[in-house]
Amino acid sequence: MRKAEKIRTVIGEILLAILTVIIFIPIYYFAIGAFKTRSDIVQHPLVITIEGLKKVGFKNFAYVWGRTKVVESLFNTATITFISIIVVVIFASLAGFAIARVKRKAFETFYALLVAMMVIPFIGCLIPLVKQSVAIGTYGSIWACILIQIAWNLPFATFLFVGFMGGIPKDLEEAAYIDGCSMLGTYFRIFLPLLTPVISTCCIRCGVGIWNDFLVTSTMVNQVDAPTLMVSLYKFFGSRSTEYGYAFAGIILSSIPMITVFLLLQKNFIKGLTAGAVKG
Amino acid sequence: MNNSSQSTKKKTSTFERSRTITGALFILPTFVFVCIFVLWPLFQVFRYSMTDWNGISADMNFVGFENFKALTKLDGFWTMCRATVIYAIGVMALTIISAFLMALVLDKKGPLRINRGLMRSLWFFPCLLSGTVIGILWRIMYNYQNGIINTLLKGAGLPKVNWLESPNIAMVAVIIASVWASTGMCIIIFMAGLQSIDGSLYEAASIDGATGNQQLWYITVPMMAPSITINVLTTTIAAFKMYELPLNITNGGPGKATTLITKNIYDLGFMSVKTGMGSALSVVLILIITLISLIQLVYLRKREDIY
Amino acid sequence: MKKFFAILLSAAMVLGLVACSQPATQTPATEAPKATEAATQAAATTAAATEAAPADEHTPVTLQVSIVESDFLEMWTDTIKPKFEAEYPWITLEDVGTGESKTEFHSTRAAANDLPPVMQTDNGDTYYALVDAGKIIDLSGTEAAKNIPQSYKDAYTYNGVLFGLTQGAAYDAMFFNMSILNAAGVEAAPTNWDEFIAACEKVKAAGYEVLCYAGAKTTTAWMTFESIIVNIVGPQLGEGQYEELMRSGKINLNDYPEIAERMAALVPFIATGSSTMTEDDVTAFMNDGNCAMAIAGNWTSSNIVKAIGEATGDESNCVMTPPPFNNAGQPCWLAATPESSFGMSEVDDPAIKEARDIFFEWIFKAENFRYIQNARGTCPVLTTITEDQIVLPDATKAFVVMTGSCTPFSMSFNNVKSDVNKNVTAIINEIYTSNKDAKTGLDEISALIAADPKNG
Repeated sequence: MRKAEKIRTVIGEILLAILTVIIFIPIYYFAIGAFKTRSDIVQHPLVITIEGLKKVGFKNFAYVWGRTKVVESLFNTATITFISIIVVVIFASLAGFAIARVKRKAFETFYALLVAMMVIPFIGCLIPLVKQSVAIGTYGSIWACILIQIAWNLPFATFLFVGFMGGIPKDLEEAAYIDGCSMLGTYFRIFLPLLTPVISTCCIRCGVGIWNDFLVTSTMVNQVDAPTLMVSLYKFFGSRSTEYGYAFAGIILSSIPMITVFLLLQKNFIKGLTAGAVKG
Repeated sequence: MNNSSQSTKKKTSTFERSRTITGALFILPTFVFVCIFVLWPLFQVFRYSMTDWNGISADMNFVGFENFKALTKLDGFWTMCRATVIYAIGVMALTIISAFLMALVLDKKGPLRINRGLMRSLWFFPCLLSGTVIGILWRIMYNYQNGIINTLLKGAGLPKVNWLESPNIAMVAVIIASVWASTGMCIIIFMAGLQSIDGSLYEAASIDGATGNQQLWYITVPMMAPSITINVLTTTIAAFKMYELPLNITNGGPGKATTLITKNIYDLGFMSVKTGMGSALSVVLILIITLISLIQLVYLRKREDIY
Repeated sequence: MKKFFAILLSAAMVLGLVACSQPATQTPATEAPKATEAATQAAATTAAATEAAPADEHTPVTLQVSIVESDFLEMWTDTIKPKFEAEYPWITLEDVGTGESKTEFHSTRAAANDLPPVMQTDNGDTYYALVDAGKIIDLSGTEAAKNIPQSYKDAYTYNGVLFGLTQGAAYDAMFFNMSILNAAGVEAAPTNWDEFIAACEKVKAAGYEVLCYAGAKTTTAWMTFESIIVNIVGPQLGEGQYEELMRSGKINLNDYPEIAERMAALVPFIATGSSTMTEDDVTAFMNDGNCAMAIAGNWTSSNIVKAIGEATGDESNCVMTPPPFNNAGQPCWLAATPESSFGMSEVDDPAIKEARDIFFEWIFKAENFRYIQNARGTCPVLTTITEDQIVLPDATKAFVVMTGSCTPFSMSFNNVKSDVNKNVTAIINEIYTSNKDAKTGLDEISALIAADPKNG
């Protein structure tokens, strides 16, 4: 019996490894594609020969680097993502705190409304948003993107924070009030330190979306001197021929910052979701 | 509402009132933002859905529910609704099952000591790519003649599969790619749920002689109910709203087999300048998602309460 | 461990960037002579003009140009932009909206009242709506329009407004891998329908894939369809009539039973997967050396010729002809279409308006227009362009000669509305993947075209 169980776990382990490899094949394929020519990518998807590598090398990367304003794009995308995320985290955590800890019917109703907002398809609202940003005068600057990204990420972020806040023991909060803390004080002293994990979660979950966004930036930011990463990269997905090698190289370049951030936040990320998911 | 038990202590009531005010102040920024940038455009969408506006010209006439009537007569409207529901439910079910199983395996340290953190990262990487990129990637991989999937199948001595040219298989192909893209995030949420289960429950169960399967079914699954709720809801909503990924794999084909509602919203709004009808379709989509999410929520919450 | 991994990654990134930046600095260096040559040339030719109207009189303006075709983007940044800016120093050109989704970009720009002054337009409902709303302007008064043949202008006229001047002409072409045909016992490239079908049968019997096309793209999908139709309908109706019928929606394709017959006859020879292929996939597939023929636009000729050359070891193994779908003894009818075009939008600011008009006339001068034409490898449309200004790939050159004996017709996706175009493409692909019977499909297509004609 015990032996059988052991064999089973070993088999399970091997299966897991194989499955993980299969899941990773597309990423691998994608990564080596950045070092290959267009027809090579389609023809010999899984292998990368020394010969081919010598021929192509970093040429795809160099092409992307030379043809796009990488530094400016990176700066703009980073600005949009950074500001949006900070504001989302602050607003959503404050709202989450109020909804989860100050139980009022009105707040609960608003929360239900927020959750319902997660279902709205963005694509349908694009034209009204464009008209609106022209009316309020943000059209054409990265602020239009920032405002929209904040608003459209708030519902999910609040959803996450409410789940997390609900899980924090009540005595902690009460102790703070007895010590004479105001609500803001409690939020800063008791809750914020406990929030690090869920902030990481929020950063990754919303950050990926904002970083990879094409629709909002391409329609709102018309400053040609201020391109964003995705807008710069999408020109390699032309309408008649697609330069896969360039596109792959560009996307790898653009996702390195995301991967780095993910790896740095990963430990916190797990804990955050633990707390959030428990009382979700 | 908050005044129901106020008669006891006046002090508490002022404290509660100040909490209400501060709470309202905390919520205010979120409220303002979503009202301006989400609800107002949404209101506009509702308004457009009642007009014949083409998105470009200056004149916009009120037509009542004509657009909705026209939608039902639209060529392939029901096919498209069916495809959308099948796609969304398929993606949700497969993502949840595969993510749950993977989370179970990844949670424990295996006998071969494969690094779990590394595994987790590998499973998570697809989530870092945008839908367009994933779509293009899978389209190349599904190529019948020289796509890598068929190459591998041929290498294993299996027959090639014509992934994108027959309606049912194409839908499966699109679902597989979407599941690949969304599993990582769900795994992480499930793992978080697993880690929060009290270990003593399992110890007690094994002392009582419960087998591994019984433990899984009677302890793990019920204890995971909240994270299941989160995953089911977010995955379903995301699948209904998915646009770039299926579009880039099949472009809605073959025929209209994988044409989702979102693709039609886009086509109506931007290609054939029927913004009124496109908006009406957005409204329909919102109604469908809300309905399905509500059913899920009621059912899942009930389950959570049982345990 | 994870931190270490992250640091490693960042290090890799930095290294990668350093590695990139070296070739990147070289790239401009090697291309610089070309650009500077163009610039000095330009400076020399316009020295007189600049003296007459000194640059200081003008306030600097930035002119946005929406460029869609990414394959002449290199030419744009390396040659066209520097040349123009050297001639008109106060105007800075900026390309915007590059990439796949042009109509969405233009619709949202229109909603914001911020259309690029010079923009690439296409035959599509978005542009018709823009014409109706008066947001893009009539070009018939421009100097440039005089040098474009009338048929190309007709294709870009909606409600009497000429809204685009095309950047080139595209033709439907058939590419043969002669070494496969020879191996299958076919000596020469077929020249009519019967020879073609006979060749297909031989190739199939020899165990090769026969014919592929890029079904994922509207243009190429329509080619495989219309080349069949028009070689049957065209000779019966006469030149120009088929296009009229398409525009007015008064065509019933099943009135000509041969169309369904021929489409059905073609089905068994279409390589599996064609309906989802892009032009890149077709190129790569021909590169595999297992497929005998491909239908594709002449703009992909240089890629496909190279691919067949790589597959067989010799580029002369690739023969490029008009699709031999004509009856024996009759001339071939050849699908031709204007490519994307350049149009202008309504602008208020007088300085930008002036810059817009200057640029528009400038780009349609033969000595500047040739850059676009050559980068795309398409056939010349500008009447003022001289032979020495055209650089075409060899295979295309031979092909252009052959087109002389063909009767051209305008491809119909220019003559139908956007959703008809989209739906018909889907049906064509369904027929060729035998998901739909040819006759039923043609009935549906006729109904679609009749329900919402362009000239309703």
